[in-house]
Amino acid sequence: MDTAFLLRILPVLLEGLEITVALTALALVGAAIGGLIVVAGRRSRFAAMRGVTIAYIDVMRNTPVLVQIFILYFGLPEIGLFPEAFACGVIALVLQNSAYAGEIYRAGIESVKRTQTEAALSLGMMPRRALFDIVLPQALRRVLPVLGNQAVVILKDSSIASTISVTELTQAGKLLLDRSAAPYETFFMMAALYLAMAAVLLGGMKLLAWRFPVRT
Amino acid sequence: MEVCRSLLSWVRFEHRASLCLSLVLGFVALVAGLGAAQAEESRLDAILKRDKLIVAVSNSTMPTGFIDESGTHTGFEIEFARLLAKSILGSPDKIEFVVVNAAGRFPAVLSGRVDFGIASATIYPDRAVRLAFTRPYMDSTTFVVVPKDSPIKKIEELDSADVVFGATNTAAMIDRAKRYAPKAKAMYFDTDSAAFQALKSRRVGAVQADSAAAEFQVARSNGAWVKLPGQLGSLNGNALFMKPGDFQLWLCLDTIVGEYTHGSRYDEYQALYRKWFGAEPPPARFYSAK
Repeated sequence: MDTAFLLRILPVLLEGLEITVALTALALVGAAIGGLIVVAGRRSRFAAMRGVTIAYIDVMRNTPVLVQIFILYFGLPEIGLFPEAFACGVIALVLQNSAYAGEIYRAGIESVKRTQTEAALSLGMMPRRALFDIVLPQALRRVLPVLGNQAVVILKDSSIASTISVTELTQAGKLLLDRSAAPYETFFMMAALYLAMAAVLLGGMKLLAWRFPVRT
Repeated sequence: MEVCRSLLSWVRFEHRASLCLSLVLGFVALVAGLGAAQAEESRLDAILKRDKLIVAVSNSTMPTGFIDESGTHTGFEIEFARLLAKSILGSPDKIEFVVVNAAGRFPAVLSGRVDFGIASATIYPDRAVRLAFTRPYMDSTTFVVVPKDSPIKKIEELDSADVVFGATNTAAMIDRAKRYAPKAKAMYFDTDSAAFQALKSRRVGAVQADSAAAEFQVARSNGAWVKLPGQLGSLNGNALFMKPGDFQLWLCLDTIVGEYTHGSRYDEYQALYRKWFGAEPPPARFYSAK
């Protein structure tokens, strides 16, 4: 392996890495918030709202993010909308991962025993307060490891934005690769950078899990 | 057995240890020697032994390698690769295609997954450090395609901050975009198809593409797109590419390509060229040009 070449390509890959970090961070925040909306819809009192949310979850979870990103990027101009490629990448990742995050939140909420809500209500708490003060804090602690995994999935899926010309880490690598015909060095460096980012993400999640342990 | 046992008891432990070590070293040397001999064996021998070519090709570049309406993988490069199979193995069907995109074509040959590639690869100095190219099987110029109603009428007008200029994410395309339209916003896609889809959806205002692909897309657009007059940059050569270091295979391929483009098989090449590009190929000899 040509180590001098590795060092030469690093600055170019780091430029791509900046875009990957931005893409992932925005998608993470968006999906975390979107997931709350999804879980609210999924647990709604209204059957129509539940139906719409279930349909949304099914569509988003059962279609590839690549197809979604193409529909957004190439399809929206058909109706006169021209969001930037970067925005299309963020939106596609948020749309798909909100569905996953919503189901993760729901699993967490349903894992908290119903007796806890009943106890809170019997103490005179309003249902909303029981949810926010009693159920959600426990549910979120329980799903932190799963959310961490999902965060890594978002990081890796951000590479799909390269197909619509976003020069994130994978696209930067592809451009380098085509010029230099040095796949091993380029892929090795890209993998190392993705691995480092995933380690940071998972480390952060572990820190959160340590700070907010599950109490049984 | 008795003899063996008495012999072993006669040989002192140290001697036995050194004997074992020698045997192990000898075995390692033998294996290494075989490995070296194997490494020196040309891939051409392997091709002849397996009686089949394994070739990296594109399926998203019209008209050189694409899937037609009937689902058939075809194109100029696909059929040219079949001609190579016919020359090497006696049948155009003794070939297996491995579909690659721009990012996957060089790793495919360097990893040894395929014998060589024919996937619109331009001979390029940076690439020549790590890849071996044959002589070109076709010349390729670069044209710029714009919508018919585009305000861009000349190549010089591409260099404007208002222009979004699309291309595939290859080194030559990027260099041309930077050189001839540095003020334009450049967008790079994985395939020609995606770049032209971006033109169709008005994501980009102009697309640069290899002459063959550009002509084909303009012809297919039913008048919606036009080609800007002139070419972008200089003439390129598209060539077969392979892992360097295998002189025998390289020489074989290079010679065959030469025979098609300039020699004994020129008539077959000419027919193929006419079929896919609707034009005459460069003459077999410059002095035979009319």
